[in-house]
Amino acid sequence: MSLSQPASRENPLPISSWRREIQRVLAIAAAASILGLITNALNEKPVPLFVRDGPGAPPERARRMSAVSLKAALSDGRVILILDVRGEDAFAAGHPQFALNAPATNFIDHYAKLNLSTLLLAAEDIVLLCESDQCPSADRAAKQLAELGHKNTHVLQDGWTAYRAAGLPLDAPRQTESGKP
Amino acid sequence: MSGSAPEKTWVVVLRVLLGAALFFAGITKIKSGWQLAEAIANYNLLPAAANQIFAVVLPWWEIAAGALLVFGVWTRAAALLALVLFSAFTIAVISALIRGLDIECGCFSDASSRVGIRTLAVDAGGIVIAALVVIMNGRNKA
Repeated sequence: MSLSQPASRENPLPISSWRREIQRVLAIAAAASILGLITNALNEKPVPLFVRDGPGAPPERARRMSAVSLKAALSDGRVILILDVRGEDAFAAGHPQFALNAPATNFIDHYAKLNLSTLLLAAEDIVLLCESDQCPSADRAAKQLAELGHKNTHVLQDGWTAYRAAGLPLDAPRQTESGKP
Repeated sequence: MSGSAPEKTWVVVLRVLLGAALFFAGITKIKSGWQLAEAIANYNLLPAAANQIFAVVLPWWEIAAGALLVFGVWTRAAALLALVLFSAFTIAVISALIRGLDIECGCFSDASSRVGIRTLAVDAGGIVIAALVVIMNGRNKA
């Protein structure tokens, strides 16, 4: 059939293979999106949509404390609680002395499990530690702590990298449940 | 369709593996919408509303593409969708690596997977396999 012939019911113009596949892709995406929206609505904790300050918002950058300042504060005898928000494996591989591990992804669960509300009230400063400075997890945890009433929070500038470089005290690495050091 | 060649065994294996991986990735994310929205937000590429929408629909795109690939239904379209997804993931990971972001990749609900070279390699592998499935399924049709 030539493209110059007008289309008719008997000889419909052939839909190109690629156009058909793209239409199918769009159909799959549309159907899956509808399923996603329905399951989200039925979820116990649905993701709020089109909310500026919801879970999809990038966290604000929290106050920073440098490793030098931390070292000085510890030397002065200030009561500082270090919360390591890295994952459990990273924490087990090495962490600040006396630091508590509260991975950022389930921070509120760890907050409850470790009874942090009591511990944090006793601390003069709370220092959150991540792997480096480009770590939204620490900023997000700081925001969650502020919402829980803990305003004296800081994120350690350049995180674990800076902590080690400053020669601050460390705890020995330990094995996780998986057996990794 | 007359004249279609049977799908080669290695293409079937790749298709099923790709589909299973996508399906599993999607299933693990369904119940952790908030975590996924935060993981997407951490890339700092899109506004909050887009992060929230993608947190809701992305797992189901993966589940749909994965299931269709596993069962060999609308295979080429499903592989095209997989190709688009892996391409988007790769762009996001490269962007995060360039900016030095220390974040979870959000690939699965498991939070211990940080963005890094391994993540990039996995996504690049996904692109290659999806592209192969698209091309080989196109050749099978007469």
